[in-house]
Amino acid sequence: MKSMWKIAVLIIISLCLLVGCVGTSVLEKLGLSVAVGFDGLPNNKLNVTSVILNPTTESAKKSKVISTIANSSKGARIKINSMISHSSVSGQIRVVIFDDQLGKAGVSDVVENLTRDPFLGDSIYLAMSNGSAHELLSHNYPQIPDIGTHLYEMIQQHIEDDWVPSCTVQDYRSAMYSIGSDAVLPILMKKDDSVEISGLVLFRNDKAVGTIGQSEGYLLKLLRGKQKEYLQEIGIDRIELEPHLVSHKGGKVRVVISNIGSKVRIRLTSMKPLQFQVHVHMNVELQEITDRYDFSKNEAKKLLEKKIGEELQKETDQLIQKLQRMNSDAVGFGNVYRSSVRNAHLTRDKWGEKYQKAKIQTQFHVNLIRTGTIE
Amino acid sequence: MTNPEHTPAKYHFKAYMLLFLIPSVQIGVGIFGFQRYIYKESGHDAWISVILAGIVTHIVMWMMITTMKKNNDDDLYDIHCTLFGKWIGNALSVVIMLYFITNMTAIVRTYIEAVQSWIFPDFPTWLLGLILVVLMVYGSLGGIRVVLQLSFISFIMIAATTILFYYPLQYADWRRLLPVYDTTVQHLVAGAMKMGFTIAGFEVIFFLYTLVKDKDKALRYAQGSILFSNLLYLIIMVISIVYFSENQMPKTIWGSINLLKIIKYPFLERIEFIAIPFWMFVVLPGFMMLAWILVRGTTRIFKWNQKLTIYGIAAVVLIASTCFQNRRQIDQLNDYIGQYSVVISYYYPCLLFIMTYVRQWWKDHKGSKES
Repeated sequence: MKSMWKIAVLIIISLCLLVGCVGTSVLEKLGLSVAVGFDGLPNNKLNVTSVILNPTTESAKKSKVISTIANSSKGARIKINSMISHSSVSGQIRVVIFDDQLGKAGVSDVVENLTRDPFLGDSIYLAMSNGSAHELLSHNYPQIPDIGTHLYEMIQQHIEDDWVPSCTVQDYRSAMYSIGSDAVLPILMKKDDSVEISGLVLFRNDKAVGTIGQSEGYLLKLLRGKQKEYLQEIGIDRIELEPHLVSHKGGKVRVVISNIGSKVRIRLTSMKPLQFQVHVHMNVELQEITDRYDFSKNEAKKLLEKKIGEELQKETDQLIQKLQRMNSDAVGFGNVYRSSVRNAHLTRDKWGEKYQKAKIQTQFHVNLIRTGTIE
Repeated sequence: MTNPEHTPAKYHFKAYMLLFLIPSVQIGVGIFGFQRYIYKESGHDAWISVILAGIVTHIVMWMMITTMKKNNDDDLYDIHCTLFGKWIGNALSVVIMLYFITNMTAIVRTYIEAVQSWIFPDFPTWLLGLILVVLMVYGSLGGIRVVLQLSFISFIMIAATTILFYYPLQYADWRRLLPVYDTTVQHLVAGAMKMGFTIAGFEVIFFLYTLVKDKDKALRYAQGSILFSNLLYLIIMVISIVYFSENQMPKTIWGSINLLKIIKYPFLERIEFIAIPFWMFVVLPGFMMLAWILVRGTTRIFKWNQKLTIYGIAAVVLIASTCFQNRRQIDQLNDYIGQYSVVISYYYPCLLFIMTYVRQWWKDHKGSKES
């Protein structure tokens, strides 16, 4: 009995040691990819750019950029591997960028193969570059030591506190594979020696069909119900606010508000003709007003609330019309339809037809909770 | 015919320990990717199928325990002999044992497949299989108490892992659950049937019940243990429905692991690389328990040497699991087992239940005639 136990213990110990020998990865010998860019080329070829963290500590640049032309993303990795002294690994990729050419042609091949690989997480950010992704990544930015991490942090910050909707691989795939919604990704633009998020790109299925700017992006995120505290500037015609303005001039009054808490309810009000009612309740705080406005009267506050609501409503209506023209259901009206109609047997194509004809009414209810520390 | 108390009292355990033992057999590899099979049948109402399967399981559990109570608290091997006579009874026991050994192979192979496709693509099947099998030999030789202790660890592991699933809820779209009941009853039932491979394992109560010290409480705790695993399945199913979109779910092979893929902590970016190896603790007790049941059967029926039998089982499982080369074959194996487990864990206990009552009625009838 005792000798058998000894043998069993020996076997277990030796097995444990054996397990340790499966595929070691020494950090110093790895080229950690942080960001990858894909540029679509004719004949379905891809120009793949990889930003690799520089393992040599002495060098001033924190990362180096390698690019290659290949037929597939993994094919590019093989080629990249032959160009660097370390073996390239993709477990640390945080941002994947593709150019507008590839966006128009369809990006699902690239994204699907990212998900196929278990080493790539679902929280990788996807973005589209305005112009070549290779240029964006390989440019020598004097202010940015490591473009990969910089982009990651920039997008993350904009998602968490700003107007960019979440753009992870999961968000993209979830929207692409759902019947009634379409994906939205941020657009990165190189501006001289810096990079900025210039707007959002809208998708229909997996193809980019149009772009919207920052303030429209704000409203889109608001409608998707994930908008956090963020400033929005609104222009209101001076005549509208006339009774409570101190000075009387022409032009527009600019009001900057910050959203403190909003509630969005989208309801299907009628099936034939297809009608949706969007009701937004917003608690806002006044941050800035470019004119002297008399807040002492109760009606003045009411009027401002009303006018802000009207202005937001007008802009939202325009945005929704734009989305309908592009046939991109970024807000997710299709999901509302699907979840409120029994036995709808909705498919993507059917919804695409319906969506463009749908009549969507918006209604804003703005509650001005405070005007800052002064009135 | 009935079985004298041949198991020493030190191997008996309190009824509340069923709370750890039964879920540890039920919850194993099935939970990795059960969602899409049910989703394919009943769509976004898949959670109703899960509840349906759960309710049926509760009823079957009651039947099983009642059957055993009526049969002098015997285990299934003895019930077989009582109901069907020695030859047919033992043949049926062998069938059950074959089912268990296939089940063991499926558990080992599916777990290895998960490890290979998520962490180590080039990990040799036989090596991980050997590790599992050696641990199984150790556990089964140690008897039910070793299994019990390990299943307690696994219970804690399961409970801890469940907490992780709150994170994917940030990406949830709760509208995906609506409209409720958008399918037909047939689809719901078909979905519930697909729970077979995932929910099976509670039939071990047939072998554990004899060892319970306070049998009057056994039913309560057995039902409690099933409730635990049903709730877990329900939670994971609901989270999966709201997390994955309509066409994304059927494409996802390992739904539960994919749910963990989005979790990101500053100190730990990819939780699934830790969760999968840790899940070995959850897979093992069930695996050991099945081996333990098998050995009980072979000693009872064939009077084989226990140790040699365990080594034999280990070798068979190891060799059988290396025979499965690719995903398709493993899927097929799981599919077959899913179907058989519906028969063995649901239909068969009903049959035994009815037969027990028929036998009793017949005996009473004959008795009254003679008197």
